[in-house]
Amino acid sequence: MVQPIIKNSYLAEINLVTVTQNQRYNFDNIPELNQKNIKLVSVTAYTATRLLLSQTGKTVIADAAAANFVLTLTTAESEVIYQIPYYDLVSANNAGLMRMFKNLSVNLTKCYATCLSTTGVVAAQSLVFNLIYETM
Amino acid sequence: MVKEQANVITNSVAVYLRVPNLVLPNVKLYFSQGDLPLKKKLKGLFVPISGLELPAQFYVKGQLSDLVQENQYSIFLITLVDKKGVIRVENMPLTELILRSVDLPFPDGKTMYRQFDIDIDMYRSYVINTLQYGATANPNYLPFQFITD
Repeated sequence: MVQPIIKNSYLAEINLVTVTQNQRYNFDNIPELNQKNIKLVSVTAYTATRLLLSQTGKTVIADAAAANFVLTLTTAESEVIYQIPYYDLVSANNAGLMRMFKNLSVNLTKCYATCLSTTGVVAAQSLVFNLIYETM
Repeated sequence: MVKEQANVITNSVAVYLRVPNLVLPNVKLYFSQGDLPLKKKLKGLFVPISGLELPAQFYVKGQLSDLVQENQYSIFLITLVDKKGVIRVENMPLTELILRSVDLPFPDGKTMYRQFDIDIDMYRSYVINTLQYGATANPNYLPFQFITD
């Protein structure tokens, strides 16, 4: 079973200031991940059971709310991973295995999560992603 | 490129991180001097579970101590720094390093440890808690198993 050999990782957060159906929530600019030579290897998402509070003290979305969000990963040219379910990025839902990607050169500020349903989602909660990457 | 690496153990060291009853969140808990893999390269890391992989209570450094319970792991984040002082792993949730689980919704499939390739500086690496931790009367410790080359 191939799993990433972690050389670098960064815990990224999208705070849901307001919760609206079909709203897009973009990542903030993270300078160390916006270098041109960064390749995204794996993304793991979290719900409250596995991470109660984010690194900024925000409540992470509930387990039951994971199905309400999808993630789109964008390179400079195109949306290469379009609306992958947040639920499927939670390693606990995948026998503990991390979802891996083929060395994506993502443009993080163009990547976004979409809220498909607001059921069980509370404003000011956060989506949290562990971004595993390599510098080339 | 991602390379396949067997989930084998060449060398490993158990490290117990002291967790005081913290008043404020985001206090950095550093590894203290002891049997740390200082000159080795970090290849893997996992956190054993109290009462499942290790006893809930045993002697650490000569004192009867309690391990932090698994249901508290969701408030801890670990940051790993390399010997050049570069933060290589920033705020990884501790729950990501669990092999087996009694509390969290892990299916039985994952018993592989998370693999790293970091020339780690143990003294600059640290753990933070995002919420106040309620320690028991005995000294409290987080158990780690550092797998090295």
